[in-house]
Amino acid sequence: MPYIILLVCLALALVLQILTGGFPVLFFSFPLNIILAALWLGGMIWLWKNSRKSIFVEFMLSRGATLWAVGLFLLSSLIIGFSGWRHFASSWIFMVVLLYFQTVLLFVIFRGWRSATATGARLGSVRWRFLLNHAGILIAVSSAFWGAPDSETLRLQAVKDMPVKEAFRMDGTSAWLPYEVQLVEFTVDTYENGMPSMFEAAVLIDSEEVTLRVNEPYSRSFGEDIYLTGYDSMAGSDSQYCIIQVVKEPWKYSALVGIIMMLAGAFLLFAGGPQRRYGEDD
Amino acid sequence: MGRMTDMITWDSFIWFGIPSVLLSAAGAVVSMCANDHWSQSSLKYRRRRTIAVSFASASLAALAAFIICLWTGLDRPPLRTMGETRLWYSFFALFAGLFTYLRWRYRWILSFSTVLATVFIMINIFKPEIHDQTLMPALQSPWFIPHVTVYMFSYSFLGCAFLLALAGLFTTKNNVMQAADTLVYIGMAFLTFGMLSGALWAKEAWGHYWSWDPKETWALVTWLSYMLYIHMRLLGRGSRKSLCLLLIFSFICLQMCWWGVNYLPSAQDSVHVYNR
Repeated sequence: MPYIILLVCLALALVLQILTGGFPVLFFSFPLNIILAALWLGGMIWLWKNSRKSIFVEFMLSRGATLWAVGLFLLSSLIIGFSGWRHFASSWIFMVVLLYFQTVLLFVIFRGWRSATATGARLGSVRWRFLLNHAGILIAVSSAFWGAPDSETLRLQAVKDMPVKEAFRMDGTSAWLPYEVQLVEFTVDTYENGMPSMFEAAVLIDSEEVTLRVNEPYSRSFGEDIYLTGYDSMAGSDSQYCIIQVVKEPWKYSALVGIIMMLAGAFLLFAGGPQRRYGEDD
Repeated sequence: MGRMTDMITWDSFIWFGIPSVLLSAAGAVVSMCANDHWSQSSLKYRRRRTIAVSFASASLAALAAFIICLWTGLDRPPLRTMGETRLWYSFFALFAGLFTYLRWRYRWILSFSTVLATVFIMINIFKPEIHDQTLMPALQSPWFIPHVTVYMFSYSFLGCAFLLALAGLFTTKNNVMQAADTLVYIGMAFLTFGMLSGALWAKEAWGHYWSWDPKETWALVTWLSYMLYIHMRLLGRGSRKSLCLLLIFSFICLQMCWWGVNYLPSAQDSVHVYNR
C-alpha cells in the first residue's frame, strides 16, 4: 500500500510536470519556504511522538523505504547523467523524490537518536558515525532543497569608464543591484605558450576597491559573494571588460554545516570499516 | 641548499623514481609473503612486517627527497603542472598504502599502492614532454591536489572491490563479500571526501556547491550506487549475485564519471573537460 501511494505521488508529479512544465521554484521564496519547512518538520516530529505505530511511520522506517529512497535518488541522477537535462533537477518528479528522501532520513535519524540515547549509554563511535552521516546529508540536501528559492545568480559586465548597476539572471532577464560595480584594472598572466595562468581584476564595488581572482571571491554581505568569472579572452590583458558574477545564497552556511558533518562521518566510515549485519545488532 | 638542489630537475627524476618503485615492490613482496596462518604476534610475522614497512618507508622517502629538491630548485611548490601533480599522486598512493597496511595489516595493500604509484612514476619518466603542460587558472587552487588525490585513492580501492565482485560471481566463499565490504567502505569514505571537497571548491571558484555539471552528476550516481550497496548489505537485502552485479554496475558508473563522461554529447560544456 505505501508503495502504491509513493507511485501515485510520482505519477501526479509527472502529470503536473507535463501540465506546468516545471516546478515553480521562485513561488516558494522566503518566507514561504521557511513556513513549509517548519510545518513539514513539525508534522514529522508530531507523527514520531504521537503515532509511531501508524502505517506512515512504520513504512518510513522500513528497509524497503530506505532502499527506495536511495534507489529513486540514484535513478533521478542517472536520468540527468544520461540526458544532460539539468532541468530535471527542478522538476516536480525530483521534488517528490527529494522530499521523500528527506522524510525517510528524518525518521531514520529519530530512531537512531532514540536507540543511541534510550539506554543512557554514551554514544558509541558507530552511533556517532550514523548520526553524522545521516544528519549531515539531510542538512546538506535540505539546505539545497528548501534554500533553492532564495538563491540567485546574477552576472554583469564591468567596464572601466562607467559604473554599472544592471545585472542579468541566468535566464537573461535583467535585475538591478543595490550598488555599483566598476572595473579599475584588469591583468592576465600567461604561460609561455600564451595560455592564461591567472587573471585578476581590481574593481570598485560601492566605491570600495577590491581585488577579485579566480578561486578568490569577495564576500560582500550575509550569503552574498562576488566572483570574477570571465573577460575578453581574445584581448587578454587589454580586455576592456570583465564578467562579474554575484551569487546570493543565504542557505550556504547550513549547507556547509551538513558538508562538514558528512566529512566527519566519512572519516569515521574509513576509520571504523564495516559493522555487523542487520539482525546481529540494533 | 644552493647548488646541489639547483641541479635537481626532472632530468634527475629517474634516479629517485626507479629506486622508489623497486623499494616499494620489495616491500609489497615481503608483505605478501606473510602467511594467513601466522599469528600476528608471532616473531616470524612481526619480522616480515618490519621489513615490509622499512622498504615502503624508504620508497616514500626517495620520492619525498625528490619533491623537496624540486621544490627548492623551482622556488615554488611543485603543484602546478600535470607532471608535478602525478608526482604527488605517486607519493600519496604510496603513503596511503603504507598507512592502510600499518592500520589494518592487509597484506595485499602494498602491492596495490605500488602498482598505482608505478604507473604515475613511469608516465613521468617516459612522457617528460607533458611535465610542463599548463594548468588553467581555475585549477590553481589548494583544493586541486587533495580533490584529485582522494579520488584516485578511492578509485583504486573501488577497483579492487570490482575485481572481488567479479570473483564473487563465480565462487561461493563468504569472505569475498566481507573483503568487498571493507574495500567499499574505504573507497566510499574517500569518494565522499572527493565529492565534498569538489563541492567546497566549486563554491569558491564558481559560486555554487552543486550545479549538476555532468562530471558532478556522474560522481553522485557513483556515490549513490555504492550507497545502495552499503545499505543493501546493512539491511540484509539482495542475493549474493545481485550484490556483486550492483558492485560491477557501480564501478561502470565510476568509469563513466572518470573518463566516460567526456564522450557524452551532453557533457560538452562541462567545467571538467580540461582532463580530456
